[in-house]
Amino acid sequence: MIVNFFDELSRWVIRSGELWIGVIAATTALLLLFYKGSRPLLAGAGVLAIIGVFGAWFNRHPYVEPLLAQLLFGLFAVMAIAAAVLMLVQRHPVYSALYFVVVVLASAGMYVLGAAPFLAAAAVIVYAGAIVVTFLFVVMLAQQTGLAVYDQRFWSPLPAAIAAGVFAGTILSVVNDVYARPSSAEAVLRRLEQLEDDLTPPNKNVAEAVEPKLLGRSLPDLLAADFRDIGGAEGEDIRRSFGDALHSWTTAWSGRAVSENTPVPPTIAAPQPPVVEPPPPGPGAVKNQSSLLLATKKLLFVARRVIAARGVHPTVANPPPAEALQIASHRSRLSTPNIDDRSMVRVLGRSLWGDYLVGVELAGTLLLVAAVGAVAINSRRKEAPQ
Amino acid sequence: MSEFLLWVIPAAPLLAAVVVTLGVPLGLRSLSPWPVILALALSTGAAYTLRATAAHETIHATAWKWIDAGGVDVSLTLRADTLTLTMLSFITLVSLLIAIYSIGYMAGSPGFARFFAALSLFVASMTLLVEANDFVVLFLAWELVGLCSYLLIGYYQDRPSAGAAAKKAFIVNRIGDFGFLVGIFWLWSLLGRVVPGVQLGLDFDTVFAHAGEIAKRYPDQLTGACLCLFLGAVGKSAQFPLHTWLPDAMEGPSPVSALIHAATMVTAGVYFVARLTPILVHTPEVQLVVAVVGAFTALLAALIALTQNDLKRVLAYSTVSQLGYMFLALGCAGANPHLASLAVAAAVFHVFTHAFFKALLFLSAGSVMHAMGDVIDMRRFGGLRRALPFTHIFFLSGAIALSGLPIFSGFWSKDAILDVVAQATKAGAYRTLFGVLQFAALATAFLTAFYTFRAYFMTFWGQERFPPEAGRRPHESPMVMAAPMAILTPLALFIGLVFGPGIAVPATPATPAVTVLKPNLLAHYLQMNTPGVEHAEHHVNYGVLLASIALSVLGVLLAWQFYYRRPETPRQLAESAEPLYQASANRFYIDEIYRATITTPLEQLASVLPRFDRHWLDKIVDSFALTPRLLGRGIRGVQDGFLQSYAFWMLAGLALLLVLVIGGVS
Amino acid sequence: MTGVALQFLVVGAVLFALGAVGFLVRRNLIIMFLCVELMLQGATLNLVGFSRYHGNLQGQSFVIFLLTTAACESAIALALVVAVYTRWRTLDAARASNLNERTEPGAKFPLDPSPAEPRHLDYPPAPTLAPAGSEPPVGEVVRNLRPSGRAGDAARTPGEFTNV
Repeated sequence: MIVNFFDELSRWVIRSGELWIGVIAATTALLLLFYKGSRPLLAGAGVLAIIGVFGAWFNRHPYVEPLLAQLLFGLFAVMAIAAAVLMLVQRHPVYSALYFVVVVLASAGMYVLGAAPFLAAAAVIVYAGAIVVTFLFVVMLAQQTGLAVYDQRFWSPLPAAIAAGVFAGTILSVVNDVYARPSSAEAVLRRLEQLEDDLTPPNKNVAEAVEPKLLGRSLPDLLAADFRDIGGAEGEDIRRSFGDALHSWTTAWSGRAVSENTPVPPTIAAPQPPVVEPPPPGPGAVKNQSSLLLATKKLLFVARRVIAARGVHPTVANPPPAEALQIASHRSRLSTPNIDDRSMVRVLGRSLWGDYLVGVELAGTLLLVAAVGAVAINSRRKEAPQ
Repeated sequence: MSEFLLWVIPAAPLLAAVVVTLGVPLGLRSLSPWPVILALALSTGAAYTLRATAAHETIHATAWKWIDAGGVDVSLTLRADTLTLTMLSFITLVSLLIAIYSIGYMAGSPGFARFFAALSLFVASMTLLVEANDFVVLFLAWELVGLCSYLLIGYYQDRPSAGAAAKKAFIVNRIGDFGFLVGIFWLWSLLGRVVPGVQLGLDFDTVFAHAGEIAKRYPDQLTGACLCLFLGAVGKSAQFPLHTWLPDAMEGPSPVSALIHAATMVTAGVYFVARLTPILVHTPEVQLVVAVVGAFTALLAALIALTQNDLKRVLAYSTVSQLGYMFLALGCAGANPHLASLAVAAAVFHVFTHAFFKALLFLSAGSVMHAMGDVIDMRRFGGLRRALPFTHIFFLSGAIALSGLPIFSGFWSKDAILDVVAQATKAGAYRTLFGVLQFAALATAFLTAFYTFRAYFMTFWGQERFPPEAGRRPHESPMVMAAPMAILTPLALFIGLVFGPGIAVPATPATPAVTVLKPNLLAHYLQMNTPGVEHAEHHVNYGVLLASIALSVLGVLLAWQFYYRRPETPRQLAESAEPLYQASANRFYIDEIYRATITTPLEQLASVLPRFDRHWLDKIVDSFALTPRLLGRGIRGVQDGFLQSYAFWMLAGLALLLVLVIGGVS
Repeated sequence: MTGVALQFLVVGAVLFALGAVGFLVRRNLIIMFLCVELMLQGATLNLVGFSRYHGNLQGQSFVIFLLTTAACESAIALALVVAVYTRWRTLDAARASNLNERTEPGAKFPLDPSPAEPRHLDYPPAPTLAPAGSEPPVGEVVRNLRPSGRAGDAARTPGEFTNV
């Protein structure tokens, strides 16, 4: 059993080899910083190395978002990590606190990119505004004359760095495993699901709707790139249904109507062979919601079949049953943004006060208790004996 | 009734011992002899009552089942057949007389109560021994008498020599007991093989009943078992090579020597071998060994007794020699199985008479010691016949009986033994061997007379001189000491005549049948229901009779010549045969040989072993104890009280866990 | 959609690891706590990423609660740090090693606690009133109210009333 374990382990390491190189490089750079002190040049070189390696790793994955968003995210990420590293190696606690503020600002930026603007504001206000200020006040109160001895020395950086490196490397390799297979079918699927949800409620005005594209490429194109290497009877099936779906898609988005006769299979679990029927050409160039919806559903079906055929890279020996995948799709209406929600703040508020009201009340109580407690701990009393 | 009396005999002295022991903390020390005397009187009375009333049937009395485990079934049963009753008759009487004697002898010595308690316990054990119905109870009693002997030899607790002698007695006996135990187990296993599947006790009747079958199926093993059993007898009865403890046992008080080492305990071995006769008739080789050992011991001890200067030592070697005689007699049955009855009768007769006159001799020696202030070296006193007239008479009677002068007891019993030896030389396959043994027996008879009267003349004749320890005037023994001796004297002198040989008129043409004027009482008595003794013989061997008379008279005369008429003769003889004299005086260096070959190597081994134990075994054990300490020290080092080190271990554990879970899962 | 949650997870993991390293390495209590906050930042990034992945706001709500809890916890922790400093006069984590089990002679502890700060009179003593019927000592009180001075700085002549 032990031999088996090491076998698996070595295979796992080899699979995510380049990731581990990055992790080891990062750990070494961090260690150097600890031992040599805070040297900006070294720090900068280390950070650049880390960025380079992770960037190379990132490159394996397709860009699924607009380039600007990716670049901004990368910028904020670099800022956060660099500021975190610098925070660790500062001698003076005030500098550490200020670098922490930089980290908070960077993560605020990342929150914004993650469609959480309120969180960004809240983080800046609460963390950078309240918590770090409290830190600075305490630093002033508990200050020693000159640089304190205990700020100059670190306690065994090597074991700590190794442990944390192993820890981070493990998590990253899990992430790597999950997302290692560059597959645009999933991205396409996601986008299509969103589209389907958007088109489902009736009486939507889709006259102004634009065909959704990912990175400048249309969704069928992206999907086609994925099932090129699937062979056999299943490949034939997929190609046939894809052909039909493509036709529907182009017809719908070009304003023509699509026949409603084609059956739409609803779930992933039981794909049925579709009935192939060439769509009759329709009059006019007005986009029809129903035809759009139908085209979307067809393409969704194809995308699901492609994903099922390719298989998700197994990170678990027994993939969870199909019902588990349904859980992710269970959404409370309160916590889900609708297509006509203009602002995420509104949705967040609706989620908090709708779904998690008890939690909110408890959090308020906790805040009150904490405030009272903080005051009580340090209430002014007689000077302690020397 | 008879069963009750059978129980009284050992139980009364046992109870007396308990009472005396309990009386010590109550301050009744001075009253200690009286329960003992009472108990012994009761036992004596019971023994004689039994002897008189119930002689035809063997009496059995069972108390309770002692061991009941698996195939083993031993119950505490007593038995009284004629052999037992014969032994009991002299054991109880002599014990009673010696107890009375001890009141006077032991008066004023510390541990007065201890003496009587041990004495009483001894008598209880000895009677139990002869009354035992099976090997296991007999062995129990065997060990008990050994224990009491140890207690009584080491009675004088302030003398290290007494303690050493007690230990020597016990340890040498232990060697014999080892053989005894091995023999018991062996015999038991043989019996189990012959009578399979039955819950067995090892009582005599069962063993005797199956002895023939055992002998047929496993003759060699039976021989081995009997040899082992005989080893036990050798130890207890102080035969060569285990005889070294008896002379040293003279460190104990004289009553102890009289009772234990002359009359009773040492005869236990003889009794045992006599008891085993029905088995031994199937193993003539063992009986030959018995005879050879007995004869050799008799001659050896007699030779040593020639040159001893300690009166009690002379008597001790004399005891060893007489015991050898008894074993010689018992062994003669090996020449011819038909001699078994005669052999047993002769040996038991000699035990019977020997008990009385040897006890008398020891008691008189004790009287001499008492008068001479505990000096017993014959070279330091002389000519005591005027100062101690009664003791003189007593000692002379005993000496006459021991030497085998005609009419008196020793003559008849010794003659019976010489007779059976002579018969053994005539019949059977081992004539030459028994011829040699007969020569040894005759030589021993001569030497016995010689050294006995040597002691007599050296002590009571010659120039009167007293050692300084004797005080102003040596006085005769008090009445309490003299009375038992006085009772013993006629017994010692004439009991052989009474119980002894039959007088028969040979057949004449007038009277076609042999006319028996006086039957051999003892032999007839034994023949009644003792296993192994089938018939009583009326045998008188005139040649042997004349030879033994001549030898004893010669011995007496020679002693008179050497130690009365010309006292310088012994010294001249000793100087002319210096090595022989030295060998005899140093007991043929047997003790020194034992010390060199056995004791010293064992002592050296014992001195080496503690070092081994300390340096190796203790260190191994200590290292086991050291392991948790080292382990703890290692593990304790992790706890340094430092928060971040604990946090580090948490993180490291978490990382390891993640690796294991995810690595194992994928 | 592949990389959408991925980048959040990556950055979150890296921040968490860095926070862990910082917690283990630094000796200043305040900086240690700051590193804990950094770990929380990593966790919140993870949550936002998953919220984006699933398309609902459960993750973000959880982040709100985390924010709240972090605020409470930092308040209490810093209050405790101040109280601790009042007693110890040092912020060294090695100061609290009383639970160590290294009893062998010559056993070394991981760190020697740095020397504590000498006690200054941080706060001037609160002014008290003179007993009834006596003249309040005016000059000495004012002198003793000097914030950066030591108590012994005030000159005392015998007979002068001081209430220090």
